[in-house]
Amino acid sequence: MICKMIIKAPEVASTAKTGQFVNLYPESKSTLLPRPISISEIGEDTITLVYGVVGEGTREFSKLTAGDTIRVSTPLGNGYNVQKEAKVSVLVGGGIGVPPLVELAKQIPGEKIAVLGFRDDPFLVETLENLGVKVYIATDSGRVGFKGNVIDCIKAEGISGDYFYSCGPKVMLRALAAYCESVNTPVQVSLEERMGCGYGACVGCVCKTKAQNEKGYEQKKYVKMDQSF
Amino acid sequence: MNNANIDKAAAAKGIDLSVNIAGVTLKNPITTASGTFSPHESSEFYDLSELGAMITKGVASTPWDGNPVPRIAETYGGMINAVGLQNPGVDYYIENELPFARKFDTKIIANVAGHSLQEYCDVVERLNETDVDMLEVNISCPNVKEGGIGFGTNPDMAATVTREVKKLTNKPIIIKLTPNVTDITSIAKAVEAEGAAAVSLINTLLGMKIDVHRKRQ
Repeated sequence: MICKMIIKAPEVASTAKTGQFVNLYPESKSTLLPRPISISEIGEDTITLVYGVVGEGTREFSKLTAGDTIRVSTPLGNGYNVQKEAKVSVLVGGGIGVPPLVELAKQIPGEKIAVLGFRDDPFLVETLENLGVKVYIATDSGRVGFKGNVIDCIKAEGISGDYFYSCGPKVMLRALAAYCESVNTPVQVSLEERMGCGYGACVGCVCKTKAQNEKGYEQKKYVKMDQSF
Repeated sequence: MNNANIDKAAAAKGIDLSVNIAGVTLKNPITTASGTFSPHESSEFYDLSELGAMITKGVASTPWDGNPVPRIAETYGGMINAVGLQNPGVDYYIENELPFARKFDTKIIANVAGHSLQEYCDVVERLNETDVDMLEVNISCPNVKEGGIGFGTNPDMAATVTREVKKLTNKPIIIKLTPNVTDITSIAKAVEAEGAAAVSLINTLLGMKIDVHRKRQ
């Protein structure tokens, strides 16, 4: 089940950057950790979140109604670096990685193409189309749109651009990064990992990034990384 | 930064919050546990001068990557972790992290990690040259596959580490104990006998969470 939540939080909205996330705190005593959820849209004093119900915490959130309150953190993570000079930008999203692309689409000038992969049922397609984005859909089953994954769809449709942005499962990001390297196009990926604190203290979430050193890599905290690779 | 709020409020009411551990006076008994706290990140949220002491994350003689992700899992009302002591190594710590921590009016207790007796000694020797106020030796992290488990679960090995690091510094030594033993008092007594100024309790409890529905850990 996919849910949408709009939170009135002026302090969060005023400092949020596209591609950042917030930590949402469930009330249930059976939970301890906050749930990191990407910001889908940034309003004047609100943020919109679109999330999947995958467990205890998100189930609790899905039962909230208008007028309820929720504990939410300040914006976390580094967000995307919007490339204003790109004439054609391609946004690639996989499943629950699609929501953050909405705010990103609002901020990108020029021509925008989105390639969205879903297992079965697409969502947020109309929202993106209303922002002037040309949307391609790829589903595993072929029930809607292209049958296959987003990379196959990009190749089949001959989609290209000056800059790619992406959010979704690691396997998709890895394949997209390899594809972008093969066509010499820069890409920013939004990564996620199981997190603890969400702000860089607990070292629970790390990722190896290439580096010019003996080992050939550095280990960086997801929440602190510069998104552009 | 000085004149932290907690102490001001206490002083105004004539309450003395200070504590003395092994000759080091902490202005109040609030410290951060090693592994749960990072001065850089936490300083964005509150004034670290409020703390009686900060116990920094375990540092080894060379940088350690720690365990592969995922490293944490929520359990019912809690969490388990296996970070694996990722740290940038003692050289980086001394050059970068200590100077930052010293900006705050609080005591610094440096946690020491090691895969072997020699590594513990190497770190203690380096830290002895700095102005950290105390050392906390982590002989008990259960996530390190070599050495760590052995030392903390065996009174003789725990005593050996204590004795050997004591030779290298006059700074007070706190030994951090593991709960994953049958009798923690025997370990505590063994390190006390070798001159540990204090023990800190406890390091991570071993645990595993199994999802019976997904048939996975």
